[in-house]
Amino acid sequence: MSGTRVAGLVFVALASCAAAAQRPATSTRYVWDLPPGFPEPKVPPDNPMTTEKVDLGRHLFYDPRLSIDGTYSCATCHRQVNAFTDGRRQAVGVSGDVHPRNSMGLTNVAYSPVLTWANPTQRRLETQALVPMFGEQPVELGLSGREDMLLTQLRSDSRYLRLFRVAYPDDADPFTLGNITRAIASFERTLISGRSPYDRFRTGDARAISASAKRGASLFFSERTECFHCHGGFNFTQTVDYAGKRFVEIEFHNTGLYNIDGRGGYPAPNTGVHSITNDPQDMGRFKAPTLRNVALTGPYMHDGSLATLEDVLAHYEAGGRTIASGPYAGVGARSPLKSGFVKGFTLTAAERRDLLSFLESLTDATFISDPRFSTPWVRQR
Amino acid sequence: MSRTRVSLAGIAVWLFAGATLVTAQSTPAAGGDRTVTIHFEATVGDAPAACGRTYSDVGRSGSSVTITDFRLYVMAVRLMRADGTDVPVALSVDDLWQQDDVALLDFEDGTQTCANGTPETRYIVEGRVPDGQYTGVRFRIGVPFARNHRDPTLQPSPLNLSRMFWTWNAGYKFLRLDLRTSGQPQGWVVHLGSTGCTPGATPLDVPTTCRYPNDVSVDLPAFDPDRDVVRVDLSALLAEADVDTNQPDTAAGCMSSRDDRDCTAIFQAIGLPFGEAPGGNQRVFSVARPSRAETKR
Repeated sequence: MSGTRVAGLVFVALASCAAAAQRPATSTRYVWDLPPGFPEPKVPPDNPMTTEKVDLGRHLFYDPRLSIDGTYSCATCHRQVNAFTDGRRQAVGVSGDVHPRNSMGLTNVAYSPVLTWANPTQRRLETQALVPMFGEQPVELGLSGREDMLLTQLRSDSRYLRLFRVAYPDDADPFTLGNITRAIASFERTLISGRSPYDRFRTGDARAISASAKRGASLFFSERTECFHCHGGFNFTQTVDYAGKRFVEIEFHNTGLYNIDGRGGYPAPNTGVHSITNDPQDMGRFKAPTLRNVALTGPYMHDGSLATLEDVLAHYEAGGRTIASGPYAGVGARSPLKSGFVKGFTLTAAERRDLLSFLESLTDATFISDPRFSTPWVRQR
Repeated sequence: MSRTRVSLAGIAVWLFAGATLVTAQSTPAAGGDRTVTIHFEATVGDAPAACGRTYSDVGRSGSSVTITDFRLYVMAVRLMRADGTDVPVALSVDDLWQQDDVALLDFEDGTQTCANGTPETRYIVEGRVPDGQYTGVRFRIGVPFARNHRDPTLQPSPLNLSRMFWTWNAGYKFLRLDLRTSGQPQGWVVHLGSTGCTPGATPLDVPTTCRYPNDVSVDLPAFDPDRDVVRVDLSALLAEADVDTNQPDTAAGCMSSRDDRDCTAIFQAIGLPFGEAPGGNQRVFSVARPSRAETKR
């Protein structure tokens, strides 16, 4: 009873404080611009989407002040032209550290209930952003211990004074680490791609893709190749979540890319989910990424060890990769930990071309040229 | 007019909050309580551990080392009585060094080799205990599980220091000791934290379990809180480690990974099992008795 009265008073106090602040700021609910048939992404209740946060996040995503020496930003390893990958075999951090992993694309990351290649504990973009910012093994943006420097730099930019204030109108001091990661996550959630030629075909335009790509689609969705078991659904990955979906599905698969010890071993430190859980059964298990824009995201696999899509097809045709010599020698097809769907198949040269045509039909030209996803800083330089 | 309403409301809230606090603090009503300050010191052997100094003959390889960072979280601090019972130390929450049941100790001062550090240092844990005689102390190195796996940007100090984030592993570094050694001038480090963590069911869940919690229990049964100091001896931590070499394809030094044999000697020194080696008593924390002339701070 008295609790209710106190709560009421608090409300009055807060309302009065807000009125006393410079001007009553309002947040604009972000309106999704979804491709046909796409569900609305699931957004964490503690970070609702607003256009102001998205705008701030876009500035931060492209801002090299988010690195120790002002040379790197999120966009260094996540380039729009490459569907937010970097074209490298493995990422390279600001201090020259070579990342053990290939830069993961951000296409439709809003639909991913688990982030990065193989970390089942990495579930929110808000916290995942801290890894590239503050990680030390390897160093990516190199900000560990420098959060005060970062906040001071941002605070001294009049553009950010406005952007932070409108993105977080209720905060007395909006310049916080948590507000940075929330804004970046909000921007990342807008990176939605679903307007490829294949999507036009899927929604009724029979001429949107070539006959070869249509044959490739049939192969892709066949029990002969089994591709769709891990890369099915609107996002071409089974690991997907969205608003209204009741069950969270997260899959990790060992595809027989390595078998260095005859027991399915992968070379350290890239042991997949195993590197997080330490469970021997998790050896070599990685997330199946979306295949949207896959023609733009090579080199392929978690370590970039397959240079081209042709190499990827050859790997799956063989039912696992064979490495003849060297420290990683082994026959992936004989891995006891390999997914049952990676069983190998035989394609003719024409069928191989068809599958590639299909994969190329998933390239969304509007996504990689959309100005809403590009740098807002061009005119400043 | 509206100004008056604001301040009245403010007072009401303040009174309400104050009443809650008083209730919470007066729980151990029987007898009084008192402040206790537990002092810590970091050393390399008998020499104080400090940024910028070079220490020779460290570890199995007899290396020369310099310190570039050294901080650790202490939790679940308890004072022991002569009869074997113990009482929790209710940490004084200062929103800087201490929060709930966890406190940060910070032995670097941001100078010289510790450039990524903070100028502030912290060598004590402060709190309150019931009046009485205490003859020992026990505590753990770690962060309480319920706090260890939350978004660190939403956590209060001292859990919001990025140097202690261990975000790739969904938690904190419980202890970070960064070194440059004669054999590994780029760095040889000890980052201790929970590994083998499995996720919760939904995206907002924190990990439900960690196969290797890796929090360290320290029992010092002969410790007079009013006189003694807890010594953290880095030469004991590194005694059996070869800090001049690093196992290929693993983190520099020991970042708690189970496949990193550089961790074997470190985990043994702090009493944690590793691989085939069983856990035991830690050998890093001990009781030091400062001479009477030395002023304690």
